[in-house]
Amino acid sequence: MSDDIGGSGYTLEDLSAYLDRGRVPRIAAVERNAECQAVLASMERMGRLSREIVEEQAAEPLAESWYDSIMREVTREFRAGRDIPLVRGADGVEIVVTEGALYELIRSVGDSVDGVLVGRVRLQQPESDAPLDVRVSVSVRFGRAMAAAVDEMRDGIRAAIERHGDLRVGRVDVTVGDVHVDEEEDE
Amino acid sequence: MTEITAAELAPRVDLAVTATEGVREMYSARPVIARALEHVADVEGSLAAVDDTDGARAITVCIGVSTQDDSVAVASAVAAAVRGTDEAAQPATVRVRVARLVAPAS
Repeated sequence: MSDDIGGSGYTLEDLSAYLDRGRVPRIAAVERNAECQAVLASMERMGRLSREIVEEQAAEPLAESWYDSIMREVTREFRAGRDIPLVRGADGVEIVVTEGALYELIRSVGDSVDGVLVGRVRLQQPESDAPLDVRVSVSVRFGRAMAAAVDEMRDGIRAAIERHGDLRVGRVDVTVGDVHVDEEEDE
Repeated sequence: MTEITAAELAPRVDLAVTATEGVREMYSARPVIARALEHVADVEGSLAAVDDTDGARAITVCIGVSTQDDSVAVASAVAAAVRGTDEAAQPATVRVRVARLVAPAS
């Protein structure tokens, strides 16, 4: 698989460096590319998140490999992928959403659920008219009720996707693969 | 009536799309090779892809919509705006790709 993101000619490392220098000088090929923009937005969110966690867990700073592995996963997911019809249009108009946009949407649901960190997301649609099946692995903050977190995640994903056109969701499997510590919880 | 060429129409489409309410961002819908050539030549062409093949015109645009908005309503408004850029474009096919569903900044 090419490291190039969205046919922009730039890699994950290039985008990281671009973000670090404040996105100047402007690179049109990056700023006009949907996949690059999604990855940059995710890097900014991850940057904020990792800074917060490092501040809260000064004794155990996050391993750089953790950030890198998540960003590699995000990059893989955010590739545009297939176009999925949003509505069955008529009169020569087609309205579609990319798989990459749905991956970003699902991750944004995880960002909004308290105490949840999204690890891996998988989206499957066995047939073109079938509902979308979603599998997500998450880490839940120590002390947070797992069942409640998983329910919130599952309901949030279903609602977020189904509000867009004809999209329908089948299974939503949320797996808690890890538990992380947040000292704020102990205060 | 003078027919508008694809090259003339594309920037008009860009303006119409970016002016549509609910469009958070517009991205290049042009083929990778076209984008690569622009990159090498250091020029910024239009974002919309306007393709004339065998007398049929196909217009593709790529947009980002807020997760808070109705993406179908926004995309439908975009399609109508694209159609409005040129009466000659009426028989064209219009493809609107929602390439990002953008969460509002927290």
